[in-house]
Amino acid sequence: MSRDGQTEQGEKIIAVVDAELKDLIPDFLETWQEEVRSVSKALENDDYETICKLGHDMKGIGRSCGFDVVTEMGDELEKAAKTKASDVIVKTLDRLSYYLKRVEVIFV
Amino acid sequence: MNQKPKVLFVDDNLQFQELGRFILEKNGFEVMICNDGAEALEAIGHKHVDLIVSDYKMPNLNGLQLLKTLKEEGLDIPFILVTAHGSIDSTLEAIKLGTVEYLTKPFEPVEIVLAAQKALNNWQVKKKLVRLQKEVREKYSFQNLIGQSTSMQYAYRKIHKASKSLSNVLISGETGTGKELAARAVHYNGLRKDGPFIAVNCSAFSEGILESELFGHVKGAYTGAHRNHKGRFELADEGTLFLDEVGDVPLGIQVKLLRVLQEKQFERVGGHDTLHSDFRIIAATNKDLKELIRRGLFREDLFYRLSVININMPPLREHPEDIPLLIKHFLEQYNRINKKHIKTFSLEAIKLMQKHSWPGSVRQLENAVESAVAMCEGNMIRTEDLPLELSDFPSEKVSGSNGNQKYLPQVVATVEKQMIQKALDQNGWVKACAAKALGISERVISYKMNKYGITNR
Repeated sequence: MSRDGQTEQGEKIIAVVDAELKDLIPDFLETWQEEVRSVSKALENDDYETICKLGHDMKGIGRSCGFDVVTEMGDELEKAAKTKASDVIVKTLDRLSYYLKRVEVIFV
Repeated sequence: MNQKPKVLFVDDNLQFQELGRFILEKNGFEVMICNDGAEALEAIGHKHVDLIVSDYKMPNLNGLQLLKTLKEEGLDIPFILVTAHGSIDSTLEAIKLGTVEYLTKPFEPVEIVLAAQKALNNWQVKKKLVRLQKEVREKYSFQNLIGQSTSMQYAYRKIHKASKSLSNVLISGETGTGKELAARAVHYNGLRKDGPFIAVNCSAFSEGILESELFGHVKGAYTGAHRNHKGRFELADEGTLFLDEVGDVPLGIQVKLLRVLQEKQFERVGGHDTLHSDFRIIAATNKDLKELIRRGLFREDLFYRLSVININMPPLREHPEDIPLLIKHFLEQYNRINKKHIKTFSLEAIKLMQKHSWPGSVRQLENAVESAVAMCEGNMIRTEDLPLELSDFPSEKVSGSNGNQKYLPQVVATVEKQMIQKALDQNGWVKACAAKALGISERVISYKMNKYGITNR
């Protein structure tokens, strides 16, 4: 069973993922980083509908493959997009971007 | 299922498509992907699908709309609807439509595998139930009622009419004439065929137990009543209650029975609450109820309440012309059960069976065929394979008080002939071996073979 056992060890963030999903994870991480860029671009265009959808998608998939943080952040983005809270979106994007760059995946 | 179950995975999110395909294929499923409901409908039109896993929120026909469309088109495929956490309305609507399972995103990988396995297992159980229900209905369908004679055709017409009505039915006839079969035919071809068929043999219980069986009882109603117990009236709600041997119901219970039939309400033994049940009564008896009424053993008002429709099942001796059809039917049945391939009965065997009086009617005939199938070692049932009670003498005279003794030589001759024939068949027609098996000499067996005209067919 996969779980996100992330810990902070200095700059390191660890995600513990089911080994069964090993082949999928690199693509997924890259997709999420692309989605961060897409959300950022959508925010520049006040396209909250796109931000809402991308947040919703991340919320749905994150925990399913062991990345609880992605689900949490996706949920925050979706809610913020519904209320057009751009400052929340910016902060959430920063946190998500930080997480995706630093997360180290351990397969069990 | 020997082949991999085919799953149609419907989701517009590419990552979910990958994840779904990855997990399901690793766990023994064959997966097809569609981006939305419209694409899924197209795919279902061309390929067989065992299970659909569909996201709710999609462009071009969402998951719920896809499910509704499938229902409207009469496509009954197991369905798992995947919704976002907290979308209660869509979940409720899906349940109303009869979705097999639903999942909430985000889900653990193992959840989708378990949901898929559960959906398919439940589907198999449901299909089996439908098939069993169909088999039961076919078993008691009118085309399976055997008998071309006038008396049986008349009985079947009455059964058919009774099945189209909800009136109480009284079926009378001697033991073994098919009263219960007739009752089941009325139920399974009638308006309540989807409801329960609850049978109770009224002669099998003492008065107290019968009352409890019919009406139920509450905890503590009597010694041994450790918990509440539903009676047959309750169990037969929206169905049929079959009262077999109704002539044996004690007078004390007949009064209560009359009230239930009139008012469709009753109390459990020891209980105070009045219960209601919507049932239809079919009663059966091998007794002459009018005679019992005359003797004060059966209530006349109950008789008239039960016998709105009367069906009489004639004894087999009154329609011997149906015997060949019946034995053909039973032969097929017991060939199947015993995995045998007996083709037919010899002419002598059929004649013997037609001459017999069959005091036990069709049930006795069925038992005789079952026994003959077990005894027969070839592909034709002969007289020696038939039970001894069918032997070539008038059965009703055996137990008579006059003239028994003049039938004894005939009985002995018949038994001898049968035993010698069987011994020869079993020993490859080698007289020495057959004689040894019978405990007689070769000379004696040769003599008796000449006497009875026994030859190798």
